[in-house]
Amino acid sequence: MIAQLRGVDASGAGLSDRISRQLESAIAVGLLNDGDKLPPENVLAEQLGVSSITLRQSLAEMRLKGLVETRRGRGGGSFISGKALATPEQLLSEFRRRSPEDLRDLGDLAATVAAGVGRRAALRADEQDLRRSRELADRFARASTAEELRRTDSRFHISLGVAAQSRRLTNATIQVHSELAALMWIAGPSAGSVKTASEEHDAILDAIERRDEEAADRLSAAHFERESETLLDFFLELATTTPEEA
Amino acid sequence: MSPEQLSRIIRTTAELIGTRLDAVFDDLNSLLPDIVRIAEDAPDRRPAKADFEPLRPQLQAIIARHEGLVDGAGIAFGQDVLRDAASWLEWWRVGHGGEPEFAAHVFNPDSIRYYDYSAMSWFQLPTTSGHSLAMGPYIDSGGTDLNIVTLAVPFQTAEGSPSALGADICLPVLASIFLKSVASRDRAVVLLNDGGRVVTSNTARHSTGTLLSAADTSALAALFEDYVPVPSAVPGRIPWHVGILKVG
Repeated sequence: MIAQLRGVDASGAGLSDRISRQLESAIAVGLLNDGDKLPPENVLAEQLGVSSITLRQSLAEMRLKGLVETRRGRGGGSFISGKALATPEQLLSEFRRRSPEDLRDLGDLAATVAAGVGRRAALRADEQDLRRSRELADRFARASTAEELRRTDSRFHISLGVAAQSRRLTNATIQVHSELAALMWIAGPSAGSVKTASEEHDAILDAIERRDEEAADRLSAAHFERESETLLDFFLELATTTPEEA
Repeated sequence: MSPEQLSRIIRTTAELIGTRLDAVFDDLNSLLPDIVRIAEDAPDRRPAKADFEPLRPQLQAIIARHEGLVDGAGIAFGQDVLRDAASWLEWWRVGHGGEPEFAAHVFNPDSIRYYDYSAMSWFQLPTTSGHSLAMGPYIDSGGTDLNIVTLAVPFQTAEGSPSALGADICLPVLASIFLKSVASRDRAVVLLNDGGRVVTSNTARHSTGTLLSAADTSALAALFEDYVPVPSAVPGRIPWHVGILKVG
């Protein structure tokens, strides 16, 4: 699961900071969970594509924030700690540190991957694949908290990668959502926004079910284009109307 | 290549696939008596996770014995079979160095990596029907994270829902066995599962995962010029066909 986090831009200054943010996002969306044991440092560094020194800095930062705890002795190692759930305030402050270009870029990746996933799912999904995705789409539609929405949304889109019969596209979807999900619904989920997303999910599933690859491709891309536009609008709204926190 | 030669090739290929998979099924079946005995001997006939640790060498031996064809093997416990876990996979996989490694899974429903095997076809179909089954290929997200086929043998213990013994089949190795046997690209030859999904083939147009058509008799006749079922010592256990696609 750690390997799927890779894809973070591993260059430039503040690399250790970016690695810890990436791990924090993974915790926030449920990719990493309370009590999960992290791989040994040398293995984790290799999986994330950074040096051991950089990783050690990240882990130290996360230990300070109480997100990682290290136990000694047999069965010891670094563990995701119980205090790991990011608060809405933390997520919002993370969000404000983004840039418009960065958000647009993430939206582009999400839309591009989803379009490919939708197209291939329309060609390859069988009844069982569809049933599973419909079930997850229903769970999303019934979700009420932001946290539940993030998880069910991610799981729904990952299930489409599975339906597309593609291991790499599934991994790419997980990677996109490990970053995107932490940004979603931070404005507080409104009934309207959940309904729109849910209707789009259903339309994508309908296109997949009638094996309409063009429509599945187009609707999947449009779904993420709309969501990332909403995100970017919210970012710009914050950046132009409220003063930066100290 | 003459139709007779082609016909012979699909028959020997189907037999070879059947023989190799049956050998894995035999290994799984040979473990059943030990599993049932452990469950019976446990207090209140509800064993704990650790009670099955003595079977680890046998599970690891299944992985080692089939020349790379088996990528992992283990026991998927039904709901409430164990007294110390609602769900549990005692599963072993080929590790990076070739040594068997314990396969850890996420059973936390809040995780997006939650491995809800009870909802997955490879577990659900055999435990519901009570019959062994070769299931796949499918993307095992949260499990192996690979595109795999799973052979599953269901069993019932005194307490709890039905469980399954399983072996993950490595698709690249299965494809290699298939391609060496077909050893020709004159015509498109496909190994097709009962859902009409291509397991492997000798043609890029119909590669692994492609959905052709459901494998009832009339659909198969419409699809293939010539086809044979993959034979198995237990009929229905490997619901696959090898066929030569019609041209066009």
